[in-house]
Amino acid sequence: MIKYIFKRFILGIIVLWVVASLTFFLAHAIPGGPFDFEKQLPEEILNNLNAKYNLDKPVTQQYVQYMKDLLRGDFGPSFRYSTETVNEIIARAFPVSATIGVLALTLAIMLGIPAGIIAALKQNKWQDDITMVATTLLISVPNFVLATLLMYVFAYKLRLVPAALWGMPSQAILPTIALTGYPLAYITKLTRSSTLEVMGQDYIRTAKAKGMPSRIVIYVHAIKNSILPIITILGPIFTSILMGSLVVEKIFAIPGLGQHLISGILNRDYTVIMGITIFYSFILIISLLIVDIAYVIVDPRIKLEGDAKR
Amino acid sequence: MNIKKMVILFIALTLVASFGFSAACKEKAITFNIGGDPSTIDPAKTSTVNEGAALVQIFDGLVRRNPEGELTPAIAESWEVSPDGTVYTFKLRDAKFTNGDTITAEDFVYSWTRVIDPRTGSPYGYLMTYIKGANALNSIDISSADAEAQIADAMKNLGVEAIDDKTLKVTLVAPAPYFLGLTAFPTYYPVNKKVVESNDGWADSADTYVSNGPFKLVDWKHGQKLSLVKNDQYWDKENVKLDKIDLLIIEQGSTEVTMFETGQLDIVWGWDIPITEVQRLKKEGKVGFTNQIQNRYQALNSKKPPFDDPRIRKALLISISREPIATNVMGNSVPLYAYVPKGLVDADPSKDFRDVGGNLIEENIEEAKRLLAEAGYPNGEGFPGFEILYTTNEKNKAIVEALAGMWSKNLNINNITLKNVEGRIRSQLRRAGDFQMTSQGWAGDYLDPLTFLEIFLSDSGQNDGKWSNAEYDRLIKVAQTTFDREERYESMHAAEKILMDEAGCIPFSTEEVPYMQNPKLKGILRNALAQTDLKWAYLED
Repeated sequence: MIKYIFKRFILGIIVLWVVASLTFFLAHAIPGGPFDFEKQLPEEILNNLNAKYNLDKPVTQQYVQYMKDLLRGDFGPSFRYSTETVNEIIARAFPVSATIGVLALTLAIMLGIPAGIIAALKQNKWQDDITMVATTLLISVPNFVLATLLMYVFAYKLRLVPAALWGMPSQAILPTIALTGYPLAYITKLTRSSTLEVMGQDYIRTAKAKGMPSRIVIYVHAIKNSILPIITILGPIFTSILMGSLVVEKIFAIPGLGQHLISGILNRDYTVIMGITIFYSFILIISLLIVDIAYVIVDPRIKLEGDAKR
Repeated sequence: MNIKKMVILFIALTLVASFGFSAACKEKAITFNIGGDPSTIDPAKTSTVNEGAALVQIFDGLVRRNPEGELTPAIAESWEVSPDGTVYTFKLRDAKFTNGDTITAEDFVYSWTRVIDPRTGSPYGYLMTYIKGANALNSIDISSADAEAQIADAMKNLGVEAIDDKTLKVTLVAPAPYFLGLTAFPTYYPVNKKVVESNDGWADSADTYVSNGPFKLVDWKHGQKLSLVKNDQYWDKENVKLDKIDLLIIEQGSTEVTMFETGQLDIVWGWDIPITEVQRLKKEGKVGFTNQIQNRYQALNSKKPPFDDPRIRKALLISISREPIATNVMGNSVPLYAYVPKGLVDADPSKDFRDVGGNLIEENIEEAKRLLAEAGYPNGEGFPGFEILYTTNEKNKAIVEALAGMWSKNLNINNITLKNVEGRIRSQLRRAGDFQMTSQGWAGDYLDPLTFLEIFLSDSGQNDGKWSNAEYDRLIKVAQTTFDREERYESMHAAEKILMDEAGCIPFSTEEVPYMQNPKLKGILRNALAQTDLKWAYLED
């Protein structure tokens, strides 16, 4: 186990480095710089600003400098927002994104698993049909459409919740629901098919044959096994929530990482783009690692690579 | 099923808790969306309208526009202008900064010098060129070896001087009737010399920020909002009615409209409202239009074919129908048959510059066809075509489509390509001169035709098309330096005529910026320079 974690750790660092480098060169390859405004800055001012942030040096030299700073954990200053460093931006934006992200994930799991199980147990009955229609809808509708729809119905027409912004718990409701849509649908479908598969297994038939009450069969034997695949997809689900938050945050005017990343790209704020992208990658790598380890712990049939009996 | 019940309970509890919370923290502040997070609120370094929107509420200049639109004394109690119009002597009133320090003439001298100082890198330094010696100081190359010495030298010749604590003397290069109005612009605001000199990051957070206006900054949650409260140190605090203002940062136009209609937002930014929404909101009477002075035109690259040929430029200039573009495509604009829009005074202040100048463009398709033929492309045959650059925006797209359509129908030019690029990319292309035609607009920085006409000087940094005419340059220089009011305006009219005769650009309409505000809010000032002033605002019961 320890060897495995260590190996993953090293791999993670390599991945981070590749991501950082790719992003750096891609970001600098886009035409337009951080100080190209509609109302052009006077030539001297532009030159002075570029010099101040080393943007007039060759790209490779800027890259080396950036990597050096990165090793010290310094993501650099924001070019656009001179009052904050990228570290500060990430520190205040991450809790915001994490809040709706975790809420969305929790909601998706807590609603999706029971929904999937019910659909499987009541296969081909009306509960199953409704679930199937609902999940197909939620998977197909892009989350920004869902977000706008929610805003229109619940904030504008029904005046039940605030439309946007951040700061109070009520403002987290709509964005969380918007973000939950896709993961919820995905988890429901997967749970359903996994449960169906489990219910057809030999050991279930054995349990029933032994005379165990249905409820025990389902709760004790089936569920545990049917949620195993859910753990595998937690990784991709997490990714989709992270990416989905980009648009949702923009629509609901939420000051999270996603919004800052979009602004950073539009502003050609290279340090912000790099910082948030690397941070996202870091989060993903960690969560994927946790998911892999959890999978091993939960399912005794799985062995980690390198842990096979000698 | 236990799990199902738990889930339902969980959701119900969350909802109840949220409602409870939201009822408890009912905001009593007036909310105003400024459209984007300020990158700085240091008056010397500010460059965007969002930043200006914040600064207007928390600072006071020498003068301020009152509800009648007139310039009234603010920090300056009174002033005298010398007979030749070049020396202004301001007497400052007793007024304090938010930290209790008295505002002195030295603070003004320090602040203005700081803007002009090339080391500060102020984007709006050029607004101070009217001050004697400012140009020389601002154009010193800071990377040269003896820059420091040059700067110290140039500062001695600067036309800003503190005669005593309460007297500020300003010497201009030439009489500029709009100079007084300029001092109400954020770049001219006074910063506290002691505070700024002792702390580089003074403008980075509310704790260290010091200003002098009707409201003061108490909290800045980046990406979210700036919280302002009434400034109890303000010299005119009896006339300030609002207690709290929250400047929100909402970038999506559709979101801001929804928030306004659900009562979450009191004052809308306006510039980002989707054009489809503007029509609906107009019908519902929810939107008004500012009196901002702004025009729309197509910029042409006079150094590259096909627009290096003035006949082709002229042909395109006079072969479009401005009326339908202004009314149908843009929505609420006014067709413009010249370059400088209405709203500016003439030599006789009771007249409008545009009225006196009249229409300088006569739409004439026959004449356009003749010009095109003369240029070598009878009936559009063989015309090389060109590309129109425009930035991502519904309105921009509609405009260029309409224009291309008109040129196709009227001149038989069918090889016009429309290219949509992002704002920053377009900026770069413009600066590099790598374009043929691009959609532009200009909003006045100060209330004088020069703010529009200066753009087309041969050496102007905003003149990307590099159209150049020696007589035009001469006339503008006259307008900038002459002491004779009549001569000033005559030169500007003559210059504008040259610009239109040679079709240096293709103007077609004004730009109308929509705004929305809570109908219970009164006393909000929106001036012709796109500033929203809340000093005199109040909530009607």
